[in-house]
Amino acid sequence: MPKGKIGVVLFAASAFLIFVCGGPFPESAPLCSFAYSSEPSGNNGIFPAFTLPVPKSDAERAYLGFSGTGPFDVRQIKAQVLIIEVFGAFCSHCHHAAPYVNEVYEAIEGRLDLKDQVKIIGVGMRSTPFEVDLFKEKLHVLFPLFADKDMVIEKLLSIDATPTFIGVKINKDGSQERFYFRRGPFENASQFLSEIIRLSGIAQEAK
Amino acid sequence: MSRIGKLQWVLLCFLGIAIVMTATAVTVHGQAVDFQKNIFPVGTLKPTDSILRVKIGDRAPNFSLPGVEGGRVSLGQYLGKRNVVISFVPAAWTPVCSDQWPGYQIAKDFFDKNNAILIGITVDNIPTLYSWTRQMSSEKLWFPVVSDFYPHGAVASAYGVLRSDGTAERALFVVDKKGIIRYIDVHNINERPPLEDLIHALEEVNKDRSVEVHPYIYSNSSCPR
Repeated sequence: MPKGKIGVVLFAASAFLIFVCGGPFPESAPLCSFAYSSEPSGNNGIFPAFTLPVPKSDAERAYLGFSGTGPFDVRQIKAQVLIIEVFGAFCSHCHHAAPYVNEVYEAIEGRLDLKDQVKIIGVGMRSTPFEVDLFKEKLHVLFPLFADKDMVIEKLLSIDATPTFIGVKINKDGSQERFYFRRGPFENASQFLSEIIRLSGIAQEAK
Repeated sequence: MSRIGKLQWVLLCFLGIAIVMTATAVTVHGQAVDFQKNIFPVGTLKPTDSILRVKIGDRAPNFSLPGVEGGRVSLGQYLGKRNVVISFVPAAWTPVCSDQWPGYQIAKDFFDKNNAILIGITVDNIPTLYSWTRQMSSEKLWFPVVSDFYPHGAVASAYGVLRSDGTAERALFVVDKKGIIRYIDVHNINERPPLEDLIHALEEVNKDRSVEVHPYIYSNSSCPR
């Protein structure tokens, strides 16, 4: 093969590789399933309601917008968008994902246009409260976590892997819809947050 | 160097960079998700499938098994020095086990506080355990993982936790510094033992108090003792 053609073939091969696998940005490349198998926006629809215990911490109660005690309906959380991370306290992928989820939380809290609109909670699938507390302490988790030892929420949300991230839009009439569902961890916090903002439509509403 | 030659070099460099970047992305982003994909779906199994050969108060059968990090690990080496938690799990690359030892990885403080070491045992061979444990955590596991592969399951058999299919039960034994078994949890193989139960047992053993055993621990066992 002439030298010039070899170069063209190599160029085409590299371009194809980058196109298919997204090069260093697999989150933008759903075609490359072996590199990235999450489903960032699938399974949209009605979000089932469930209750959680009100956190003991004053700061966490304030974050969620509660002052009382006892269980609360997740739909009562004061936010327009709720991000739920379903994790396993003993799941190594969840340990790996923790700093990136914290990064999302900090980015939200650092933006005046998002701070009171977007909240994050974590639900510890098949984890006891003791194990969830350990996870929170060791991984320095900044947002409220809850235990789902008896798999009630896991079944309601059809979770089959951890971590799973769910985006829920809370409408003014109290109704809720799931607009985001992702199996697997992420490492690009700003991209994750941009996706949440874009798919929830919260930015357009703010304008 | 001819003009075509320079072009080829540029293209080759471009291809090289693309391959390295893509491979890096696949490795970094794909590893965690792929790890989950690699877990073999075993379905729901018979909760327990063996007959215990030891009981609380017995001297723990000694063993010396090859460790993933090289060398051998024996129960006897901790005699008089540390309390020992022996964690048998059924097999590498199976669902619940893959979420059990990573939890112990973040619970080291509790073991340290109670002067205890953990030994993880499966009936898998060393290469399998090597690749499995390497993907379990970004950091090296703080506790030794040993192979009870050959003679197959000999240690599991000595404790009476070798199942009929050649895997081990999901079982925890706490052995005190004197080498006496103080706590046994042959758990439902389909579920992960709650961490707090083990921690509570360790605290009691470390205070040299008897451990109250939860009724459910033996409720599914073939041989309540």
